[in-house]
Parts: sequence; structure tokens; C-alpha cells
Amino acid sequence: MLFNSLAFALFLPLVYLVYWSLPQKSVRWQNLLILCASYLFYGWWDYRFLSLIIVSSITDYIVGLSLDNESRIGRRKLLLLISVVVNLGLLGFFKYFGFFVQSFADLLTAFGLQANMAALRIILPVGISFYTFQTMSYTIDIYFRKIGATRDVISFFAFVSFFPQLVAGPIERASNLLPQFQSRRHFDRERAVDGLRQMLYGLFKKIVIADNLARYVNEIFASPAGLDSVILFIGVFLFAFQIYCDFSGYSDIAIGVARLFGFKLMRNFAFPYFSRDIGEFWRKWHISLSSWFRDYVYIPLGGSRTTPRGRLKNIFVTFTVSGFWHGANWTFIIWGMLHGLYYTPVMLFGKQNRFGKEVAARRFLPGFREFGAITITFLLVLLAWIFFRAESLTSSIHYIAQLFSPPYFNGALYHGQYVEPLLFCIVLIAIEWFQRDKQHGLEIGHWPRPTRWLAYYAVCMALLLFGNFGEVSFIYFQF
Amino acid sequence: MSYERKMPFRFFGRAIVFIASLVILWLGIVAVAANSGKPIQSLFRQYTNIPVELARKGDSSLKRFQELQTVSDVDIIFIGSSHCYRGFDPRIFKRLGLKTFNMGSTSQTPLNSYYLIRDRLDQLKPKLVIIELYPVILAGDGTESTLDLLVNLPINKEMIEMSFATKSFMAVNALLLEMLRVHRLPIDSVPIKMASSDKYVPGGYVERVDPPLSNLVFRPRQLPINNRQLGYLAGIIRMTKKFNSKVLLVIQPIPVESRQSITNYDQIVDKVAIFAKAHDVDFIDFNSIMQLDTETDFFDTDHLSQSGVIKFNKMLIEILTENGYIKPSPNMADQIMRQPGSAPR
Repeated sequence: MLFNSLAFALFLPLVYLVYWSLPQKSVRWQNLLILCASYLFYGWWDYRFLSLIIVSSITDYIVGLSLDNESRIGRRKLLLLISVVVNLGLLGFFKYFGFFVQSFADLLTAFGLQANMAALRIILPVGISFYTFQTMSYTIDIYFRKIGATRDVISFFAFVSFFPQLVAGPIERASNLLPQFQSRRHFDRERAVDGLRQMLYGLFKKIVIADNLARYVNEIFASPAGLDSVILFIGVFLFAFQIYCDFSGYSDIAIGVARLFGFKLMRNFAFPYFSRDIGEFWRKWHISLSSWFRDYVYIPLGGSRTTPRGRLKNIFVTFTVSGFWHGANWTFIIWGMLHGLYYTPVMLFGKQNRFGKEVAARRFLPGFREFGAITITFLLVLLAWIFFRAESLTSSIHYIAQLFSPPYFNGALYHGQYVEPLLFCIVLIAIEWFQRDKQHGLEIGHWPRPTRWLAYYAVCMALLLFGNFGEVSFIYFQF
Repeated sequence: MSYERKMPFRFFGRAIVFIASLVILWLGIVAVAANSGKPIQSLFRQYTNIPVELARKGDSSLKRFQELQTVSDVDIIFIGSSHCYRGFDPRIFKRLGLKTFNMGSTSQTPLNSYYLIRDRLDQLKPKLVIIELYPVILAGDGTESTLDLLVNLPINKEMIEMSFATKSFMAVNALLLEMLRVHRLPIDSVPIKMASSDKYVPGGYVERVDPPLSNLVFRPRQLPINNRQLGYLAGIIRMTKKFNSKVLLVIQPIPVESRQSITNYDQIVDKVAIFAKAHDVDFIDFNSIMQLDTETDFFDTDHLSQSGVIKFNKMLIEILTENGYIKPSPNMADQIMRQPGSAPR
């Protein structure tokens, strides 16, 4: 069930009304409702997907309880291994089986050998990359004794399948979300209102900006031959905003929906394109995933508590694995490695937390140096996005080669077609710049009431007038 | 119930009131768009989801559906997009004693066809329904055809259902535009305005009279199949079989360069073939059995010129005869190849 669909527009109010009708003392009944609603939400795509999430949930529930009662290191390692193998096994099979088979076949072909691999049509279950990581973090945290296991099976299953964040994050930690399932939720009007605002803003980013930019991006990336460098640059520029609005839009809707039910999810995006270096970018882009990789890959590998060479290796491995998480294609791996390369000097010189304060703090515009830093960071990110968006390594390399080759500008190709999408980007940049110290672009609870309501109607009208309502699915669903 | 317990419901009530006010505001904006002058309408059309004056009023769709009201008991109904109403010449079939009608409109998808044919099968009682399935149409959602039909047909239950069935916000806006238009001419009073390059032929056909375009450009594209369209196609097949009509699925000839530009053409054809088999109907991809000349047999990147139509219809009739869909006729080949309007040989 997509957030931008009629089915969800009917599903959400129904679940909300029943949820708050239940006696608030009865947390168990509310959790049971959320669990059933979440399974309905998830099963809407394909009921067969439910078996996988149930397997993952059962495995980690049992492993969690067993770890709590087990003190022998060997046994504890074995239990953790079971959780990791089951979750990564599910992920590996459904997401990466085809990739490995094809890569192996390509390798054999490169050596002049025939490869007749069985073509297995495997459907990628929606959200598998997200919930497997979420449940793994539960068992890993229990292993390291950061949290204790829960005996409440309904709470746990609801935590794993919580519908607002099930299919595209934020990837929640058990220490944040599970206690919220185990305690009474109170309806907070201010929180719910801001939740609705955040949902509205998320819908605006997805339906007005991302889905309208998609058409231009698809056209440019589908046939870049014959286009000039400026158009190719526009293509990747628009993609940068498409993927940002698509993904952060989903996160905003997820966080906003959760707030309607009295839950607080972690922030997933903090206006990342205003970052002054790559270190800051990765503290603001897909925060739940980057922090997951930091805590469960980078730090266990040794993190920064090792030699410079060791640190380099750890960064590279972490970013490469992060790229691989995004998809079963060499383009995602190269995207990850490129970001690893960008991050290396920042890390080696200990500058990864250089920019802690908000950009242009207490100023209207950034300073010259700040603007330069933002621009350079953005251009580096744009270059990496080419690999992320292109269909193959070959097409990404061709795209980049053409970007830096003549013709750099061919006036005959322009007939005002890029004015509208670029205007959308400018509007978004303006909103996010002025709201950069807030949690989201429509956090305007402190505005005078008439202005607030004008803003609500303006955003809603923008949605209705300019939104693309073709039920275009979210980019990150493919992960 | 305590105040704390009532809060979520009061909040929900206020949200509903806000949404209701949005709906009223939206209806007001659409009404303004429907009844404003051309400059304002042009802005709405160009930049928003309100497709005011986007579809051509008074073109062949109007003529076709006006004529359809007077037609009954046909031998063959052709249904589909512009490939349909530009691809099957009723004059050729008439020479063989067959009464035919083209129920097509611009970019008409199976979704649109379903609603159009649903309430007319009783009137038309076709012996054979030929559904033209241009691959681009199977990827669509039916919005473009809905817009065309909304301005050229009366607004009735069929059109309202069709608009909502597309799940297209633009289609729903187009419906609202027509319903909120203060000065909507009765359909019978709308003047017919055919493009000068086209000639309407009774039977729903549009003959291209201008010469073919030159310097055609074919851009590579990959076309996904919209499974909803297959669902509606299945619905059409079920309906027509209830009337004991036979059904035939076809893909008309398109320029070989156009076919090659559709990078997943073969997969689309395979999927349609599997679908046809599952629904026990025949399917013919004419691109696999005939290759026409791009420069003379097509007038643009997709549509047949009159010479192409004659060649295509000849082959179609031969296949229909061989497979028992129609009875053979004496001097059939001569009758088919005779130019429209010329005396019988």
C-alpha cells in the first residue's frame, strides 16, 4: 500500500479511529491493532511477503530471549550468528541471488567460458532491506548487553512490522521504539498537528517535486546521446532532488503518521544538501542507515581506534557495504566506494565532525567560504549520483565522459522545457533554507494562526494543482 | 468520555472539516478554470492538473460517437486507439458485405474500451470484436482517451465511472470541468471541426489525406505493461463472449524502426500471447507476418497511411477468412485492393 494512494487515505483514518477508541490503559490491544494493521498494510503488496517478515520476527524474538538467558560466550555467539544468518540469508537470497549468478556468469564469459545459469525469477519483497536490519539491530544490541530482550511477543512483532516505517525506514533501534510499544501512549494534540504538517510536507516533496522531476530525469538518462553537457548536468541535478524528495518525503510521511499514534521515530534527513563537507553530509543523509552501519559495521571492525591504514580500510568497507545494501548492481557498489573515497581525507585528518553548528547560524545567507564548501560538497555528491541512477557501469561512465566533452552547450536543444522542474527545485531549496533549523520544512507551529492556515492551503493547493497523482512508487522501495 | 479521550476524535473532526473546505475550494478553482477566458485557461492547461480545453472538441470522436447512436447489428467492431480508427477502413469490409464500426478514440486503452462497449453490446450485437493493442496503449492509464471522450460525449454514468476508474487526478478534474462548465453546449450542437489533414469516413474511420511526414525520429523506449489494462481487457473478453461474439486481439503493423525502438517489444508480445491463450482468444502480431514500407505505408512514426491500411486490411481479411471468422467472398482480392470511392470491377 503506497502512502500516496486512495487505499492508504482510507486505511489510515480507520486505523486511527479504532486505535484511539481502544482503552488507553490497554496498550496490548493497541499494539495488537497496530500489528494487524501493519500486516494488512504490508500484505497489500503481496500476501506472500508476510511469511518472510514473520520468519524474521520469530527468529529474532526467540534469539533475543535465548541471549538474555545465556551467559556462555560461545553459545551467545552462536545465537547471534543464527539471527544474522537468517536475516542476511533472506536478504541475500531475495535481493542478491540474481546479482551473484549474473556476475559469476559474466566472469566466466570474460574467460571465454559458457555459462548456463538457471534463470530464477525472484521477486524482491518490499522493505526487506529495512526490517531485516531493524530486527538484527535488536539481537546485536542484546548480545552487547545494551538492551534486554522483551517477552511481550505482540510488542515485538509490532515493533518489527510497524507500518509507517516498515517499507522504507527510518530503520529504528529497539532502544528507541520498543519501549514506546511497551508504554502507554497519550494523544498529544500539538504533536499530532505537527505530525500532520510533516505528512503534508512529505506528500508535497513526493507528489509535487519528486514525481514531476522523474519525467525529465528518465528522459535524459534514457538517451543521453546527442545532449549537451548543460542538459546532462541538469539531469543529474534534477535526480539529486528527485531522490532526496522521494526518500525524505517518505520519511516525513512515516514520522508524521507515527506521531498521530503517539510514537516518536528518529529523524532521517536533516537538509543534507546544505552540508559543508562529506562528513556533515553523511550525518544528515539517511541518518538511520548511516548510523546503523557506523554502529554495526564500522565500530565492530575497529572504527577509528586503529592505525590510519586500518581506519582507511574500515571506512572503505563500510561505505562499500552501504552501497551494496542499496542494490544488486555494480553501480551502487561504485557509488558507495566513491563516497568512501570522499570520506577518507575527512576521516584521516579527523575533520569528520568539523561542522557541528547549523549552516549560516543566525545569518540570513551563508558566507562566501561556507557557500563554496556547500557547492563543492554538492558537486561531489552529484558526481556519485550518476552511478546511483545509471542502469549500468558502462552507461554511467559514458554519461560522465559526455558531461565533460563537447558540445558543452547547444541552444537548439532548449525550448524552455527545464524551467518548470528547476523552479520546483528553487522553491524547495528556499523552503528548506529558511527552515533549516527546524525538524522539517513545514514546522510552523510558532507562526501566527492566519499565516499558518494560509501556508496549509497553499501547500494543499500546490499538491492539487501541480502534483503528479499517478501512484508513482517511491524509489527506495526497490531496496 | 473524558476530555483527554475525546481529543483524538475532536482532532479528527477538525481534520475532516479542513479537508471538506479544501474540496470546496478546489471545486471553486475548477469552476473558475472551466468558465474563464482563453488566457487564464491557457495558464491552467499548461502548468496545472486542470486540463481545460486540452482535448479537441468536435473532432472525429464527436462524429464517431454521434454516428454510433444510429448503428446496430454490426458484423465487426474494431476497438482501440487511433491505430484502430485510422487502421480499419470500413469501405473495404463493406465491399465484402460486412458491416463494421470503429469504436476508437485517441490513446484509448482497454479501460476506456471496457466502459464504451459495456452498454452498447446489446445495441451493436457484433459477431466479431477485434481489439487493437498498440504496446504504448498497454502502458497507459487511460487519461488521454478519457479527456477526449469527456469533451465529445454526454456526461453520464459511463463517463463518470470511466473518469474515476483511471485513478487519474487529471481525468477527474476533466470530469469536474465539464460538470461545472456553465455554458456547455449539448453534444448534438457542437460543430464538427476535423483537421484539414483528415477526412471522416462513415463507420468511424479517419482517412489521412495529407502526404506522409518525412525525417521521422524514433527514440528508444521501454514500455511497462499496466496490469490494470490487462484486467480490463479480460473484462471486455468476458462481456463479449456473453453475447456470443468472437474476439480477436491484434497488433497492427508499425514502422520497423518504431518496433525496434521499443526495447522490450518481444516481451510485450509474449505477455499478450500468454494472456490471449489464458483467455482462449486468438492473437496476431501483424509485425511478425508483414513488413510495410516506412516511407509510403505510414504517415508518421506510428500510423498507417491509406496505402498501408489497404495492405493491412487485405492481410487481415485473408486471415479472418482462413480461420473462419468471416465467410469468403468471390473476387475478394480485387475487391480489397480497389481504391476507396472507385467503381467495382
